[in-house]
Amino acid sequence: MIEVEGLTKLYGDFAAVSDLSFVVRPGEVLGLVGPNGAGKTTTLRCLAGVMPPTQGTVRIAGHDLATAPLAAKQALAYFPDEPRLFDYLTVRQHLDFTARLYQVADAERVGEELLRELEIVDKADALPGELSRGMKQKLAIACGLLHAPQVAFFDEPLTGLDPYGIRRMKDTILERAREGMALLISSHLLHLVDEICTHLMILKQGRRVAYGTIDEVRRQFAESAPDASIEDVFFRATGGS
Amino acid sequence: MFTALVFLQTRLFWNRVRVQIRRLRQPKYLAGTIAGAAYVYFFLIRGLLSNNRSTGTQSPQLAGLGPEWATLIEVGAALMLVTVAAAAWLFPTKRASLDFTEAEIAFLFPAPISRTGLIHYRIARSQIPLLFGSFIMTLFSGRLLQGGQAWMHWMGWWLILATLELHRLGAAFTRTRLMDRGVTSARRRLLVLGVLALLAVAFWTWARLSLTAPTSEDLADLSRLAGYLEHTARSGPWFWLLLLPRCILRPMLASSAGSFALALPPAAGLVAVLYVWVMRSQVAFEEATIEQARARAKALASLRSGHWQTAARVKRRGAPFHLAPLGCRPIALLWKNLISMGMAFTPRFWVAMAAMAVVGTMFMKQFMPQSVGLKIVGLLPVALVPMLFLVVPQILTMDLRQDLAMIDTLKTYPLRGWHLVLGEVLAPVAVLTAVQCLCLAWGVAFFPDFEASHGPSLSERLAIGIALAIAAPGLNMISLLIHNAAILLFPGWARVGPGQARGFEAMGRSILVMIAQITALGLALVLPAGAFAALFFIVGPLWASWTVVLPIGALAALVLMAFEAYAALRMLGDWFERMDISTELRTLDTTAA
Repeated sequence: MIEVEGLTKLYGDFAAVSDLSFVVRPGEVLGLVGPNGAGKTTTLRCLAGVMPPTQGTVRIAGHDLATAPLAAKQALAYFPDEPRLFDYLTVRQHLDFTARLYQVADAERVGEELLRELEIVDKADALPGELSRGMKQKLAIACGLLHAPQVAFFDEPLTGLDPYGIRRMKDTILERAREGMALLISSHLLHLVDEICTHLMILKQGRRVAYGTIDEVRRQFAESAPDASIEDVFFRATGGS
Repeated sequence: MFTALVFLQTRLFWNRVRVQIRRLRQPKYLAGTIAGAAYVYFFLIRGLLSNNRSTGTQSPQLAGLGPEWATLIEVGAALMLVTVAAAAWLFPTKRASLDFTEAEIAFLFPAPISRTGLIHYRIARSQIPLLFGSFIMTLFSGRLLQGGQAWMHWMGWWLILATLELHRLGAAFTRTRLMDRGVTSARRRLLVLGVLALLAVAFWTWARLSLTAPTSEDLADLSRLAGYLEHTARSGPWFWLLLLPRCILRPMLASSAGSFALALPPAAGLVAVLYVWVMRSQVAFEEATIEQARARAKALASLRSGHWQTAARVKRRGAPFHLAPLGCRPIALLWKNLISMGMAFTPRFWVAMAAMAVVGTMFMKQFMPQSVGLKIVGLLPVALVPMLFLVVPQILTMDLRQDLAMIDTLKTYPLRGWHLVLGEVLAPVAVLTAVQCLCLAWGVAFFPDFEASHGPSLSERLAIGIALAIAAPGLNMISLLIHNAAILLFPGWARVGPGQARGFEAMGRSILVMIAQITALGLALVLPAGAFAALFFIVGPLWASWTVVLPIGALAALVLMAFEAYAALRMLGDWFERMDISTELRTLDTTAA
C-alpha cells in the first residue's frame, strides 16, 4: 500500500509539488496525469526515495520512507521513463546484482521465470548495448520485479515501445495488480490510463485538481456527459480546451 | 548561400562564448577559469613570450641545445609527415565521410546547397579547430623551440595541420573512388605496400651504391651527426621523398620574417594543389557522413547520460566470482565494479603478468647477471609503487565517480549510505592493493645488488615490502575516499565519467580539485604518519631492530587509517542519504564534448 500525506517538494521558492495526499491500496492502479511541469516525475521520485520531500510523509507497505528507508525501499520498485542499466553487465548479471542487493534467496528460479515471461530469456548473456529499447525496458522490469515488491512506480512506461512491447507492458502491469501489488503510473497517454488504471489523479502546477476512481473523476468533471472520454475530463480539469 | 553558412558559424561561436561568459557568474566556473588561465599563462605563454624577447632572431633550436637540432627536427618531422600521409592510404577501410553534426545534416543536406558547397563549408569550418590546434601547438612547441616569432610558428603550424587535413580528405575521396571501381581495401593496401616496398628497395640500392656509412667522426658529436643527416637528406631519393614535407615544415621552422616569407609561397602552393585535388576528386559522402554523425551522437548521448562505457564499445566480461544472492550487500557493488574494470583487471591477467615478470627477471638474472637492464627491472617497482598510489586512483574511476550519473537508481537501493559508498570504493581499493603488493613482491625479490654498503639486504627489503603492503590498503582506501568525496560533496566541481569538459575553466577546476585532494590526503595522513614515526623512531629502537619495528609501525598506521576511513565512510554515507538530486544532478559536469 502507498500512503501519502501532505507531500510537498520545493525547488528553492518554487513548489514543484504542493500538499499532495492520496492512498493506493493493494490491487489498485493509480494513474497520475497532468500537463508538462505538473510535478508527476518529482512526485514519483519523492515516493521512490530518490529525493527527499520538503514536507509530508510517505509510507510504503507500512514503512515510513523517512524513518525506515531500507524497509520501504525493499518493498518498492521504481521504473524511470528511461531504463537505467549498467552498460557492462549482461542481462543475467543485472539479475544477479539485483538479487544480492535485495537478498532474493531463490533469485535463479524467479529470474528465469521473469526472463521467460518477458520474452528475453534468449538475451540472457547480452549487454544493454546489444538490446533494443523495448528489451532494455523489459530488463529493467525484470530487475524491478525480482524481489517481488508490494509497490511499483512507473514513469511513462510505454515510451519508445512498439505495439508488441506496449501489449506486454500492459499485461505485466495488470497481472501485478491482480496479484495484489499497489501501482502508480505516471503517463501522458490518457488512453493507457483509461485502459488499465482503477484510479486517477490529475495534477496541475504541483497541485491535485482531481482524485478518485476513474468513474468518480469522470462524474466530477463531465457530469452532463457520462460517456465523456478521459481526454475531455483531463482538459476540463486542467482548464485547457 | 555561403553567407547563411557564415551566419551559422558566427552565431554558433558567439553563442558559445556568451554561454561561457555567463557561466562565470557562478563561483566554480570563475575560479576554474582564473586557475586555468593562470596555468596557461605561467606555464606556456610567459615562457613563449620570454623566448621571443630573448632569442628573437636566432635560428630555431631546442631549448638548451644547439642549432644543429633544427636539422634533426626538420628531418624527423618530415619523416613523420610522410608516415602520416602513407597511413591515410594504408589503414582506413570505410567510405569517405565528412565531419557534420546531426543538426547540420538535418538543415544543410536537404537545403539547395551543392556537394561542392558542402565541402567548402566543411573545409572552412574546420579552420577554426585547426587554428586553435595550431595555437596550442605553438604554446607547447614554444617552450621547446626557441627562436622565430610566435605568429610565424602559429601560421606554420596551421599550414601543417591544414595540409594534413586536406590530404586526409583527398585520400578519403580517392579511396572511395577506387572502392566504387571495384578496388577493395585489401587490393589497395597491397598496392600501397608494393609502392612502399619499391621505395625501400630503391633506397637500399641507392644507399649501397652512393651513401657512405657514418664514420666515427660523424658520430663524434651532435653537430657532426646533424651535418651527416643534412647531407644525406639533401641527396638521392631522400631529397625527393622529403621535398614536399620539408616544404610544408619550413614556415613553422623559419627563424625570421624574411625566411618565413621565402618559405611561405611553396607551402601555400602545396595547400592550393591539395585543395584542387580535393575538389576534383569529390565523391558521394552523404550516406557515410549520416552514419558517422549518428554514431557520434549516440556516443555523445551515452557520455552525457553517464554511460561513458557505451561510447567506448563495451565488451562482455565474465564475473570475477560467483555472486550468491544472499550475503553482504556492498559485495554486490564490488562485484559489479570489478566486472566494469574488465579484462585488464581480472586475477588471471595479473597472475599472467606476474609470472611473465618473474620468469623474465629470473632469466636475466641467470644469463645477464651484470646487465643494466636487470638493474632497471629490479628498480622498476620503486618507481611504480608511488605512481600506483598517487596517479592511478585518478584513473581507476570504477566507483561513485562512474556511477553518480545513475544516482536516481542508486538511491532506490535498500542500502545504507555508507554501505553504498563502501561497496563502490572496494573494487578500486582491492585492485590497486593487489597490484601494489605484486610490485612490492617483485621489488623485494629482484632489487638489484649494489655495493654491499649501499643496497638493502634481503631481510631489510622484506621488512620494507611487508610494511608497505600492510599500509597499502589503508592508503588506497583514504586516497579513493577523498576522490569519491570530491564528487559527492562538490559534484559541480568534479567530473563524472571519464571527464569530457573542455576549456580553461574545466582545466582550472581540475587543477583546484587536485590541489584540494592532495591537501586532504596530506591532512588525513598526519595522524597515521605521526603514530608510525613515534613508534619507529622513539619507541622501536628501545626494544627491537628496525626491520621488526617497521611492519609494526605500518600496522599502527593502518589501524589509524582504518578508523579515519570508517569515519569518512559514515560521513559520506550520511551525505549521500541526504543528497537532494533535484539540485545536485543539475550541477554534475557531464557536459561531454
